[in-house]
Amino acid sequence: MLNRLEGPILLYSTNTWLAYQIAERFYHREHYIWCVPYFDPRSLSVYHITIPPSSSPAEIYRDLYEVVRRGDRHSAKISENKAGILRGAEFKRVSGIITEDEERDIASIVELAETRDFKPLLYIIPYNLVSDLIKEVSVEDRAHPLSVEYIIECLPRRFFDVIEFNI
Amino acid sequence: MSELILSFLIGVTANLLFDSAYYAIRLIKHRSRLSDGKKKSLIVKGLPSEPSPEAEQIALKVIDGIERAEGVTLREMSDEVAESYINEIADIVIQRTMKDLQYDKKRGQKLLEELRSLEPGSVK
Repeated sequence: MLNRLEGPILLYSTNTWLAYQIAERFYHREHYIWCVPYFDPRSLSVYHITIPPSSSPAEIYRDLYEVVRRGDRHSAKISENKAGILRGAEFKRVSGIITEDEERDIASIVELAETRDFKPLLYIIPYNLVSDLIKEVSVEDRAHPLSVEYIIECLPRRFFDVIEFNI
Repeated sequence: MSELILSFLIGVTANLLFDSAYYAIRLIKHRSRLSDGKKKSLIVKGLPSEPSPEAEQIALKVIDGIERAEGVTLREMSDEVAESYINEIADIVIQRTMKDLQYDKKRGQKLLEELRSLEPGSVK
C-alpha cells in the first residue's frame, strides 16, 4: 500500500516461526528482517512484472507454507533459513549481544528443528514507526517505486503485528 | 558441487565463511535482478551486519565458479539448479557451525519444546 505523498503506509515481511522465536528469546525481541511496501505484487497491476518472486512476501509465504505442508526436509528454503539464523547468531555473539553458550543453544535448536518449525509468519509494520530504522537495498532495475526493498536490522517487537494464516 | 564451493570457502575463518556464504546465497536468490556480465553489489552500505568487502569477494568467486561449472550466467540459471546450490552453500554453514560449537542435543530439544509452547502460532 502506498501513500503517494509520504511513501508507504505499511511494510510486509515473511519470516519463519523459528527465526521469530529465536529473536524473541535471544535478541531482546529485536528482529532482523527484509521487507517491502506490498504483500502481493500481483495486486499492483502491470508493475508487478518488475518485482521478482524472491521479493514477494506472499510468494515467500506460499513457498514456505507448501514446504511445511509437504514436510520437505531438503528444501532450499529451509536450508537457507537455517544458514541465515546461524550466521545471525554468530554476528550477535561477535557483537556482544549473546554469549557463546547462547550461540551454542541457537545452533542446537537449529540442528534439531523440524520442517514444521519453519512455518511462515507475516509481519505487518507501519512505515511511520520504522522510517528511521530502514535501509534500502539497491537494485539495478527499478522500474517502479514499489520494487524497493528494505532491511531493518533491529526491529522491536512492539513495532509490528504478526499474522499466521492458512492457504 | 561441494568440492567446487568448498575450494573457495575452505580454510577461512568461521566469520568469513558465514558472511561469504550468506552473500553468495543472496546473489543467487536475487539473480533475476543482476545484469549479465556484472554483479552489482547488493550489499547495503552503513549496516554493521552486512558482509565485509573480503566476504563479498569470496562470494563472487563462489558465484563465478558456479557459473563456470554450469556454463550459464547466474541470471540464466534455472530455479532447480539455483536451489541446489543454495542447499550446498547452506549445508557448509550448518556443518561448520555444528563442528565448531558442538551442539547439545538434549538441551536443544528442551529449548525447542519451550519455544514451541509459545505464541504466536504454537507448533503442534
